[in-house]
Amino acid sequence: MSIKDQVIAIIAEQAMLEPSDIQMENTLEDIGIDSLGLVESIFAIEETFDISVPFNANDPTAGDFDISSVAAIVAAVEKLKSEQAA
Amino acid sequence: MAHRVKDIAAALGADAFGAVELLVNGASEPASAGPDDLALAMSPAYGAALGQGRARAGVVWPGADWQALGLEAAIIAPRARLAMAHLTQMLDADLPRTGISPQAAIDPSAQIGANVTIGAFCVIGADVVIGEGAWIADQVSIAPGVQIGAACQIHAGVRLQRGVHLGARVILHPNVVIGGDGFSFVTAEPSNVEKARETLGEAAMDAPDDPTWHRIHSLGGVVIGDDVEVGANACIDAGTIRPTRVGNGTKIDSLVQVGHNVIVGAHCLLCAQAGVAGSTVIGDRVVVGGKAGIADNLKVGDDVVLGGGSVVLSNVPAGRVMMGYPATKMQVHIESYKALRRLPRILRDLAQR
Repeated sequence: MSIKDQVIAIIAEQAMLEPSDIQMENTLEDIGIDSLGLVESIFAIEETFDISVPFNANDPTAGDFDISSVAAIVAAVEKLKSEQAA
Repeated sequence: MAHRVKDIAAALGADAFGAVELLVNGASEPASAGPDDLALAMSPAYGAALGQGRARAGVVWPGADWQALGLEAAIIAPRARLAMAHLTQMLDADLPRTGISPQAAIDPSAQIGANVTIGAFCVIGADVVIGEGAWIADQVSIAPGVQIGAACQIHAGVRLQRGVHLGARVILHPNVVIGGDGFSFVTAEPSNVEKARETLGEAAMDAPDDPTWHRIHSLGGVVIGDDVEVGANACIDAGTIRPTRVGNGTKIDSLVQVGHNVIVGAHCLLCAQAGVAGSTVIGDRVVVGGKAGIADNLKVGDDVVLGGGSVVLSNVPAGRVMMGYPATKMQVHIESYKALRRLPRILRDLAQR
């Protein structure tokens, strides 16, 4: 499964939706994930990809990890994975 | 009773559009609404459901294209939940005003105000004072000397023990018990609880010579402010010497326990299964989440928010959001949780080095 599909699966599980219901341009708010749901999604991403996500739970928009849309999250995870490989 | 859409909008302080003279009989969820119902679709999430129902009028979110949603009339509510407060009040049936039941046992010395309703099988003790317009359902026990303010609503099975004073417009749901004795006992020598607390668990817990729990009687009663609401099966215990207090406008959910000598400020919310142990003082506008607990003899400042299930074991300064057991600042709690979730990977990485 690609990084994109895995991220979508994680987000879909947290939102109680089918992965096919998640669009790349959706925001987390669009799909009904609130702040604590975001924290859980990030832990799931960390555990799945064995990475540390530089997020600030107190101000999720402040960190280096862009969570403004599903596409942004996928891109951020891909970047972290490529840095890990380097 | 039917209401015109425009009258409902006026009562909500909201704007009405379209066929505002349309009459509706009641409110309904959008998908199950009939043609004479007012569909409640206050956020876009309910838009699709409107199409499944047959409502002609609805309360919709700001910016909704209500005509495209198939409505003839619409009320636009900027703050949906506030609109619900006014709307449900408007649509609710009035309490049945049946006067004083001949089957109620009322002590002749009780002072009953004008327009009071008292249901069957109530027992009302000597020197009770019941304010004007109070409504008391059936099977309510009111101990001697209890004072009940004007326009209180006391539902079936409520027990008001001695020394209870209710302000005006207090609502008590079924089986609320106010003024039961506090859970207050003491041993002759310092008990294991006291030793455990003092030494933070270091001292050995031994069998005491005299294990007897001596009862501390509860003489202080309970004073409840104006506009307080208490949910079904909640209990507020009597104070020891002075009253346990609940401030004006505070709302208490079902199955909440407020211990003896506690002081709860004004406009607080105590959600279901919250527990407040003896002599703790809670400020104004504090929100205690469901199943949250506050240990005894603590101070919780004004405007504190306690997340569901948190357990407060030390004083909380004003304005703080707390979470977890033991409750810490929500920010600290999330950071700690983050560290805990990362711990297995950190340990694995360490082991590999």
